[in-house]
Amino acid sequence: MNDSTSHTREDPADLIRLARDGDLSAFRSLVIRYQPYVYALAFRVLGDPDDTADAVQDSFIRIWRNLARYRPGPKFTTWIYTITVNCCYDKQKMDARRNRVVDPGLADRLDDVPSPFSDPSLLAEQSDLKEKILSAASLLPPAERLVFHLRDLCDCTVEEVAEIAGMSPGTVRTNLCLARKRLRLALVRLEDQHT
Amino acid sequence: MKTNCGSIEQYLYLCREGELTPGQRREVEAHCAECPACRSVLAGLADLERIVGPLRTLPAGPEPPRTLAGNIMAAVVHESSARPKPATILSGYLPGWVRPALACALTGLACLFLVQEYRDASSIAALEQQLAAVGRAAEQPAAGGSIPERLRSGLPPGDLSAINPLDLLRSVFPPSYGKREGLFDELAKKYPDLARISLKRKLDAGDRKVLAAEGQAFLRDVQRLVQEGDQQP
Repeated sequence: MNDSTSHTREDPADLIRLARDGDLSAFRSLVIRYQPYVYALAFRVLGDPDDTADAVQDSFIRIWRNLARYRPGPKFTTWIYTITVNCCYDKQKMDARRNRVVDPGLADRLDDVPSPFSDPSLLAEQSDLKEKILSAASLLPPAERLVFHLRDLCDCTVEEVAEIAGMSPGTVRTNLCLARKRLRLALVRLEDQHT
Repeated sequence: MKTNCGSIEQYLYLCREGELTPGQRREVEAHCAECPACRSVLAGLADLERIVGPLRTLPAGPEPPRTLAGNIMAAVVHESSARPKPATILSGYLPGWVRPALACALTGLACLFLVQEYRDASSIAALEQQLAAVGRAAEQPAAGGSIPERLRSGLPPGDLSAINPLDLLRSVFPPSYGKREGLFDELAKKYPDLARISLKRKLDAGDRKVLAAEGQAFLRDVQRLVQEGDQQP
């Protein structure tokens, strides 16, 4: 296995090519570069730090195994986000199969509540408006949460979101619409609290 | 007012570039020019965008644990040492289920070469029996019949003379298999002499030499692919 001690090129395309050839150092650079984004996405889906860390580790192992299959064309981030979301879904399925008692995440608990934004005190504890909106986003139903994260926070196109989330573009638009509507209402409530 | 608020509502929330067609966007603009309520929704969305937009360059979530990258690399190194990285040009193209199918197809081809070489002493019925035996070993998981059926359907009735090995392989894989052409381009590139052999004529000594050399390499590749396929996630 080729494991060069260092490489000066930090261009993702070069790193991907080197990693495909078995360069662990290049793959490590890819991990460091993309790990925060992959972690944020997995956390958005799973909502639990331990489960998220497991899913991120599984994702990168799967990325390493399958790098030979990656063909430049789709964005690399779209490809790794697709793997990440699949790993998260697998983790959820595995947990469900084991019938393990886990914390399903704040958002899942709130799925039974008619309006997750009906209790502004949940949001009022945080001082920064950005953090409040992100906190509100974490309360969205799972599909809306994933679509909003990918489209509005990761800046993926609607088509990329559809590919990553395994939805049709129409379903992506519907979930996006619902997510933004809920968040706009949350913002209105927050502003009303201040006035 | 040309449209009512209910019919325009979904468009209001799809306000970022590329989410609406130009016609839909014009519809929203025309409606909002006359509807203060929907204008206020758009203003609210603009406020949301002002908050969310700057976050796009950053990972939008909690920071990963500091130990995570190290754990990932330890797992990857373990994975790498436990399983040699496949270095075949074929592995990038083949989903797991195709590999056993390809193995069967190539084994069938080996039978075909064998029979072609000694066709004076063999018969099509014997070939079909051999292919059927291959097919019984592993049925094609995709729709479209077993390997021998598909091989036979790719053959001119009762005549083995008009087959090129790669054309025969093409007949085994469904056209819906999107990466098919890429795979066969690679196969043709890796086995150029084999790809050039035409079975329209009786094989000469040169053809037999190529078959002996490249046919074996072909099957070695397949064997490796099948082993890797068993280990794929």
